[in-house]
Amino acid sequence: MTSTTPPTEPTVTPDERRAPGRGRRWGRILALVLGAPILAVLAVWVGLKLFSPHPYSGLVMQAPEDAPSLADLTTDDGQPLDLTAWRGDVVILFFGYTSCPDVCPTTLANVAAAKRLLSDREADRVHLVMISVDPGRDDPAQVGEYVRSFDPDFRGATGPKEALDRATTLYSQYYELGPVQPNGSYEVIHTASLIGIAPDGHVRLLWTTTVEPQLLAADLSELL
Amino acid sequence: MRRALALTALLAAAACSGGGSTTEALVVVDGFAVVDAWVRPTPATADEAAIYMTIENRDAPDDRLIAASSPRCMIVTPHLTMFDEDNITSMSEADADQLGITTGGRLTLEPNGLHLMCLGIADPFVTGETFEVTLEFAGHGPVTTPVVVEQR
Repeated sequence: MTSTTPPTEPTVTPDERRAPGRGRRWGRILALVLGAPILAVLAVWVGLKLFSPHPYSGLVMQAPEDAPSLADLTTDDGQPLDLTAWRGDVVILFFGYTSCPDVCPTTLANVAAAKRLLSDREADRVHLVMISVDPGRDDPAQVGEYVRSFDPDFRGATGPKEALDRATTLYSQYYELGPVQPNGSYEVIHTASLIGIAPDGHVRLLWTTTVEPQLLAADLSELL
Repeated sequence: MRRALALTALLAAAACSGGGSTTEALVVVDGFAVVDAWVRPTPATADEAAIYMTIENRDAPDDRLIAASSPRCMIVTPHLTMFDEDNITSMSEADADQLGITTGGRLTLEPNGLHLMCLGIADPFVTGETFEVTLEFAGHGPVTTPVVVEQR
């Protein structure tokens, strides 16, 4: 090994490095000393990127299935809710209601914040649909108007009680109308989940509505 | 008076050093300060809205929030949002022991937790407008704070 020859000077200036002979030797030493660890780190990083899954913040469905049809619900443009229209994109379903004072508006604000963290191209491929489980007070147009106060691309839908019962059962969500107050108002108790449908149309992820926008954005980006 | 001015200047300085745009005290009364009081705009369908704020006990004796009122709400009650083990959410009136504010401490009313529930909204809250909420405490006199309507 020629590289064991001690250098005559402790410091190497760029001029010396360019000098023929000695420069080449130094180059080899530098390549070994610096290059090997950098290559190793790079290899590990590439390996991790390729073979380790993204640490999803949402609950990952172990056996993802096709998102059940919700065509018996009506969207804010008066059409049946057609989830297949967004195949190739991510759809987030959220069961709530517009007169919900705390959890629902906070949820919609969180998803809107997560979308703002994505690139425009990614954000355009994320579609949130809030399904109101309170058809006594909400019609599809009202739900649409409400969710668009958080993000102009959010969509609203609802339907008759039988359709909502079926939809919540299919998506393992719970809702129940609370007792009616003297002023006619009532609370709707509901599951605080965001349901993530992947571009392939499968239900892939389940988030709690309190998920941090940064974590939700990272999951959405990975799903896309 | 001079003391009050000095206190105001101190609070303003503290607010500026905080870095956020909403840390300035909206009102300071006898050692109690209200910071960042806000509520979201309400849709026509809503009878209720959650009002959020931070109540700071800067140098008053230990106390407790007991009630609140507003000309814009039929009733205002301290509420708590809860999530059960199945992530089903519901609300209930807050317990007295959740509403204490010790000297130097604060009571934070924020989304997905404690909030002031405004029940019986006659006119929807519109972004940009401001209305008053009066807080009542066990020992301290009432504190009236402006609440700003904004979408966050």
